Amino acid sequence: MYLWKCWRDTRIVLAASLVCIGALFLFILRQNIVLTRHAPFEELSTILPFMLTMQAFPVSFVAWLLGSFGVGRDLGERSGSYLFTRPRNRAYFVWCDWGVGMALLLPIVALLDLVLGVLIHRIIVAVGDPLHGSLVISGRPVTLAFIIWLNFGAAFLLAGLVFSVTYFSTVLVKHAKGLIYGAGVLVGYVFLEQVVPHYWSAIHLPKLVMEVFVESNRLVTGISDHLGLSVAIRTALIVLFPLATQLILRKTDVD
Amino acid sequence: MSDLVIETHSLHKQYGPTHAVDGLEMHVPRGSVYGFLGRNGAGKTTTIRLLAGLIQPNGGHARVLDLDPRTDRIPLLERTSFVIDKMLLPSMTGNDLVRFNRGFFPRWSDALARKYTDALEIPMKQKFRKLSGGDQTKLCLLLALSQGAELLVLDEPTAGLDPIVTDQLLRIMVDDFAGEGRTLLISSHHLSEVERVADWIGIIDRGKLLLEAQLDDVRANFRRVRVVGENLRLPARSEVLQTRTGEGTTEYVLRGNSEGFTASLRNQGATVLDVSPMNLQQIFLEVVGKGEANVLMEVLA
Repeated sequence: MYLWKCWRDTRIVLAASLVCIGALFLFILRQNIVLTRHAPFEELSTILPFMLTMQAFPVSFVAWLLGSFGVGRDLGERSGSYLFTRPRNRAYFVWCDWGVGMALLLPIVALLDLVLGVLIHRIIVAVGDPLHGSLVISGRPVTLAFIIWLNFGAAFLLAGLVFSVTYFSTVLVKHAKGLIYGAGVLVGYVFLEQVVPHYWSAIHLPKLVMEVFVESNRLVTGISDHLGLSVAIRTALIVLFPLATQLILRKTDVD
Repeated sequence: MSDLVIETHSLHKQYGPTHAVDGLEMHVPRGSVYGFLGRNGAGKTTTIRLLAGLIQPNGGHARVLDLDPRTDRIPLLERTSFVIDKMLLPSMTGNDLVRFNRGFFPRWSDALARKYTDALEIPMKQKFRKLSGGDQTKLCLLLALSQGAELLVLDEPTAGLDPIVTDQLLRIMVDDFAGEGRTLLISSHHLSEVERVADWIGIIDRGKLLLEAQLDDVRANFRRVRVVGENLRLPARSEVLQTRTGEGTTEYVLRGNSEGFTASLRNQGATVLDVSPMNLQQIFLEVVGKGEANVLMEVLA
């Protein structure tokens, strides 16, 4: 039924993403990682923020694409009268769209994260793996598995936020323009996040990508404080958008 | 159970300064084929959207199958088929759309879907967006008929179709659907088609229902009376919709008892030349188009 429609519409995005991740995985496996000089082992931790940033762009793009499917697109294509004369609450359509979108993001983000994890593992092995699969952060060894988990959480929350904002904006505008507006809001926020501290040094807007690690002079010096709180707030924010979409749709005249 | 499947009281919908539906009082009897007539922009589609719960009224209320479209949308939509925009999901094929619809309706009939696929010769493997206008309409109707509804509401179902397809669709709607005692509401401005199939009509203009009656009663009640005479006084309580004078004759368009009317004029010395019945198109023009020169062109378009 509607879940099937959601899957039918979006499976191409999942398939294309998996193919790209698979290609990246093969590329990493085929590379011979040879370090010309053995860097201090602790400096390896600098690649962690890089890993997260590497994930942020493709994951945001896929989330943005997935956000374009669903009720907003159907309203834009003038299928709203048809869809909303099926005997279901409008909220049902919103939560199906949103649930399928989030469910598709999950394997995409997880697999990309694992592939990047494989890359880090190969680098660790290349430097001799002195800590048996761990890295040193803030003087303490932290397992690669834990770091991959942290990165996965941050990337998934970013993907969820981009997806939810885009989904909301396409329903709000009832047109493909919503896709552009959604992207505009996100890019605009990143711009503000960079610009505001230059003019008002006391104001630091929360970063779009969750700060999993504390950085100092390009070195990771620890895991961020209040990580749990940050996750909770971001999760709430992600859920807020489909809730708002549901409320807007309830009041919307479909004409 | 009410004898009316659709009932509206003072229904009102406003868009900015425009009153799209303005105090609509509509009554659709159970088991009828109801022709909902009006010019373009008269308020037909807005009324249907209100009945489907797609838009919210600014005032008044509606009941469909004894249910309120604002609060009882799900049971109402399980029992009613609406075909409004004739736009389904463009990227789906006919077969996909059948599969998609099936899950929503407990009384869905695959046998009916197959029957209409064959009868209407719809290319079910083509995407909806690639079908011709006629095939798109046929597919909309196939889905609506297969869901096992008690009430079928169609907004301009034959707009843009050729006469052969129009005839085919009308026959299916009336013989297969309404023939089983279910209720069919067709909004249209193609009067000849409605006259062929409807047993009740409602004429809407500027958001108000101007006339609602059984089609046979309408035909029996409207008369065109031509008389020769001077200084004629119209009888009290006569409902004259139109008076035209020219070349020594006066023409009255009359609703109601024509015998009493003509007797009164004869008593004043007038000569009654003829009393002629009117078809639906003539009645529509008189009810809706009083004093408006452009009506005829729109209706015939």
